Amino acid sequence: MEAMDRFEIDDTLSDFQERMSKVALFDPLFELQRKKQSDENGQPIEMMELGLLTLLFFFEHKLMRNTKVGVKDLAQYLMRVSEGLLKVDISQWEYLARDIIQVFRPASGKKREFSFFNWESGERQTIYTSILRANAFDSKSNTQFYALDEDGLELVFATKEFYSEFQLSIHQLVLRKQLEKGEFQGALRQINEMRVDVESLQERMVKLEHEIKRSIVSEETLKRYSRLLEDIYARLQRENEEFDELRQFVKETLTRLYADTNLEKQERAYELILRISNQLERVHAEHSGLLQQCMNLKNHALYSAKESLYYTGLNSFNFEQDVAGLVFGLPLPLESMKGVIAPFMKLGRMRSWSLLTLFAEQNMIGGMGEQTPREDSFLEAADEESDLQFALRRGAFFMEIMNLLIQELHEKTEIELQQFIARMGEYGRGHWLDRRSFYDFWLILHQRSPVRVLSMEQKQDNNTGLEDVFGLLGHRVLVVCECSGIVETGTRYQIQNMKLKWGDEQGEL
Amino acid sequence: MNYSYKNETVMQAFRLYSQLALNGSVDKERLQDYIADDEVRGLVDQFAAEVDCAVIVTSDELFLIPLVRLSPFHMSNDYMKKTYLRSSAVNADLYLMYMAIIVFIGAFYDSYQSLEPTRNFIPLDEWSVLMQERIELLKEFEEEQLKSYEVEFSYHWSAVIEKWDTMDDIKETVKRQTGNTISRLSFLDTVKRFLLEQQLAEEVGAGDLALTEKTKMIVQRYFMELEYNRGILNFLYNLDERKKAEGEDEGHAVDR
Repeated sequence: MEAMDRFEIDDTLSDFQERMSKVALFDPLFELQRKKQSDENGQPIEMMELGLLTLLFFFEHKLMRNTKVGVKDLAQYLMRVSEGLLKVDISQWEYLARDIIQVFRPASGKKREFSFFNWESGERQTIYTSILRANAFDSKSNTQFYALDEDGLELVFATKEFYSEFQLSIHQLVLRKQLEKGEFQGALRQINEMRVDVESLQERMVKLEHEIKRSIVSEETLKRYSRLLEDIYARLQRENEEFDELRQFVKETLTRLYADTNLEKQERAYELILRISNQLERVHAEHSGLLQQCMNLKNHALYSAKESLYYTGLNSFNFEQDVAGLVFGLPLPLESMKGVIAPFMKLGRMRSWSLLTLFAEQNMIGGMGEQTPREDSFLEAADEESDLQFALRRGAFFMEIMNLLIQELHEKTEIELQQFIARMGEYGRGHWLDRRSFYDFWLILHQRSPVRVLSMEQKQDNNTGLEDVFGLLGHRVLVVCECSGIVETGTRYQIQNMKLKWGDEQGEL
Repeated sequence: MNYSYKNETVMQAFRLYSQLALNGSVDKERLQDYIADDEVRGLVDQFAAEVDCAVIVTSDELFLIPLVRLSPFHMSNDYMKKTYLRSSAVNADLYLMYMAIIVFIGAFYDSYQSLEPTRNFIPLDEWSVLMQERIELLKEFEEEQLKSYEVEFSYHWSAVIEKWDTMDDIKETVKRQTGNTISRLSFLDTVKRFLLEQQLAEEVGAGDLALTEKTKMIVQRYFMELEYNRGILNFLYNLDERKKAEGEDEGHAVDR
């Protein structure tokens, strides 16, 4: 063999770290393989395969947008998959599931380390990977929910012949093929996978943004990030064009199906393609958001670079050794700790009380547990209090009406105001009709339709007593719209008839 | 040199500064005032330096960060005790809390290989183990040696060590390891609540704590900045009274 020249040798070494980081992805699976477990019959359990199943399980849930998946769900899934093959009871499955999850996400909180010798730079390096992450947790049942992290997603894709870098484009290609063949069901799934891709891209951009914020400290890092951003931008652009074409294609398919006269056969297909086009629009919209985000990142990077003129970063720093080691190792006087902690704290502030506060707006709440007898109260204050009491009384009344309404809507899904008023008589609530507030209630509902529970900040800036009333709705949404006729109540009031029904929460599809 | 600033410039700088002093940070909109006008920037930096703080810019926020040093402008021990610890707390409690925070941050940044944190989160019991390790190391100093420092330089390490040692890992008689029961975990829980309130940590699972972006920013932009870092080491070495007492040249101590 002829001797390779220097360039060729360098070529083989380039991007060594990147390649190793791909190898590192598989490390946890092989760690699982080394674990020896057996079922009740003494048959060995193949942990590595279960590890991959676990990843696929979490991937599937990511596709379905199910964020609440914990150890128990995984155990159940593994049990169902292995039915008839392994004899393991559910409690042991839970134990195994916990074991597997801990390999992917070490319980100590340390990231998974993978160290190797980098032949390109000629030094040892360590790569940190994070396969699973905590997604949320439920403090009531003390359950931890997990989701695939970036590297986990990469690992799932890595087991499918292509890397996530080209994932989206490949999905787009597959989708097109499926549409051409008329496999609409499969196409829908394909779109879901695309959505996961776009979401993971979004997450990566956010991470990148934080990274840029923290670590652009020199010309060199700026160059690195700029190149990265260029690449991302080019990629997004390409994908965006592809999306446009796809959209056009779906549109054409849609018109073709619509024009087709063979109605019965095409009806289901038409419905599916409608959903596809709908979902595609959504993914596309999210994807276009990424383009914008990318531009912003570029600006950020430029700012940071400009700032870096004022700043020189260290090449390596180890808080544990350089700071903690120093303080505890010598040891230094106790005050040193206060000094070291200072940057993490806020600035101390003088808190003083000014006499002028007396003339500031006063916030007094009467009647709520604490009775404040005020004989010589100012006129304004008195007014405010009576206002407040009125609001309280009215709030309580509204609660009663809402309770009855919810009760009625449990029986029927839809009710007209006219019917409701008639039912009120049966419940012995006829006297409500004499109160002005009763009519106000409907006007408020109508004006606010669709009515749902108020968010936190809305609660803060209005204290009409309505928040509790709307709180009764829980997760439901109440839709109020007017319908024909005017309700004569037999009192001095009359009101436009309305239709009341539950709306659907998501409004999806 | 004789500087003369326009009144408007000074006021603009002061407005920025006062907002920084109030919240610790300023958002994107006001950030432009700082970046665009070098005079304003210079003034704000000077104001900050007057109260022993540094101003750090990221691409969309401006932060006011108290410097590593003992300063009357920083939060006082008394205030910290009153606000964040039990009413019966003494100084040793407070220093134990500081120690816990240093150990906490150290647990995330413990590698020369990477400038990023080496872990995603830390569970409370892991934190407690790391604390224990540190305490054990401290105990290796001969007690008499520590005591003699105490007399000479008012070090009270032994009080802090004792505080930790006399606490049980958990209090077995109570259900929840939080609040006022005296145990190591409930103590760390108190520190945790402090960290959460200061937005230095966030809870990602039952008892699992992760760093917030703010903390990462402080470590990476302040502790890892060459100049500031030198200042930090200076501060620490200067506090090493023994070296001074032994008459060692300070310059050597600074230059590690």
